[in-house]
Amino acid sequence: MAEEIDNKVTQLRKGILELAIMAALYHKTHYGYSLVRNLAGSGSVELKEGTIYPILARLAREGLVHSEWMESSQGPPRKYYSLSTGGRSVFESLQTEFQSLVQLVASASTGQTEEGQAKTTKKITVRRNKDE
Amino acid sequence: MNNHFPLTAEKIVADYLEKMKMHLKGMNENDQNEILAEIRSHIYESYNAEKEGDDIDRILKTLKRLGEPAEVAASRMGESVSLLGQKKKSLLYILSGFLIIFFAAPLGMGGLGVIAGLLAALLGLLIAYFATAVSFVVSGFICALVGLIAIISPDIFLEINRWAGEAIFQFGPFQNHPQIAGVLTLIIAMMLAALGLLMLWSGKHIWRGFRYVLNLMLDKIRKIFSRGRKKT
Repeated sequence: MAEEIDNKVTQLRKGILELAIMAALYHKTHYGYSLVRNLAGSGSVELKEGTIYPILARLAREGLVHSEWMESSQGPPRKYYSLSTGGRSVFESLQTEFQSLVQLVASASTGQTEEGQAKTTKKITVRRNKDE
Repeated sequence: MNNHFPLTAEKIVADYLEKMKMHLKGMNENDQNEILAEIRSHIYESYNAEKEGDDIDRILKTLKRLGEPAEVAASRMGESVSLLGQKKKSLLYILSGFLIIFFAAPLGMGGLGVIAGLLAALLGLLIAYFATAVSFVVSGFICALVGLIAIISPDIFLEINRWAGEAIFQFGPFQNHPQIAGVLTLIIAMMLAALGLLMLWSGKHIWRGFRYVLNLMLDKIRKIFSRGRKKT
């Protein structure tokens, strides 16, 4: 059972991590390690640092991110990533979709579907009318 | 390539990247070099951000956070290469099936026995190493104490010999000069204790290396079992 949960968490993370990477690159250019710090600093999600590179490579193959090697003042050169114009618009669409999905999960987990919410609102209105 | 790490850490990084390179076979050389350069750059940044522990501690923590070379490399390979890997694996399955058919369980159990034996032998060597180091330190300090007594009050030993009626304590050519024997004993004892302490200090690294190898093997075994479970 615990393993099944692990697998589901891994699947869930894969998609969301891609979105989180795009979100970080939407605001700022990052090299691999700074991106990891950015993602690790934003929450309690534990992640193997190596997992971001295949995602970055895939985004680059799809033309959603650009990369460029730049010399570092100390140590080896860094490979900086930024979202391409296409990547920015894809991210905006994905972000809207993601927010709708988050709302869907939130309302489903509290047992309030749209229909349920409508009924609740109706009940409240009727009760208010009676009180008046 | 410039060395950006202290010597010991550099060796561990080079080993990690070498293993990763082996898993990137099938990719063109330029892509391989670019991936390795990026991972090296990541290790450097992460290593410098890690402040706790000595060089080896820091680099091992850094690499653990990054993930195993095989995992990091495998996830970078294109689908075609993954398929190639699967084909290679299926060849391995055929080979193992062949071996099982012809040699059946005894070989499998024997194989497990060999691995367990190797690990046990390695652990035995490790225990023997630490036991030797501790015995060097303890006997070194005891001999140093004897040497000091011989220097401060040499008569004690001669008195004991006289009382016992035989030469329990013998100082060889320095039989009549126990103080000289005491100085020599003290020097040799301190060297022995220093050797023991040096062995204990370097043993810390050996122990860490053993743990690293053990963790790698356990990870592999865990993966094999979890893969097996997924299939069932």
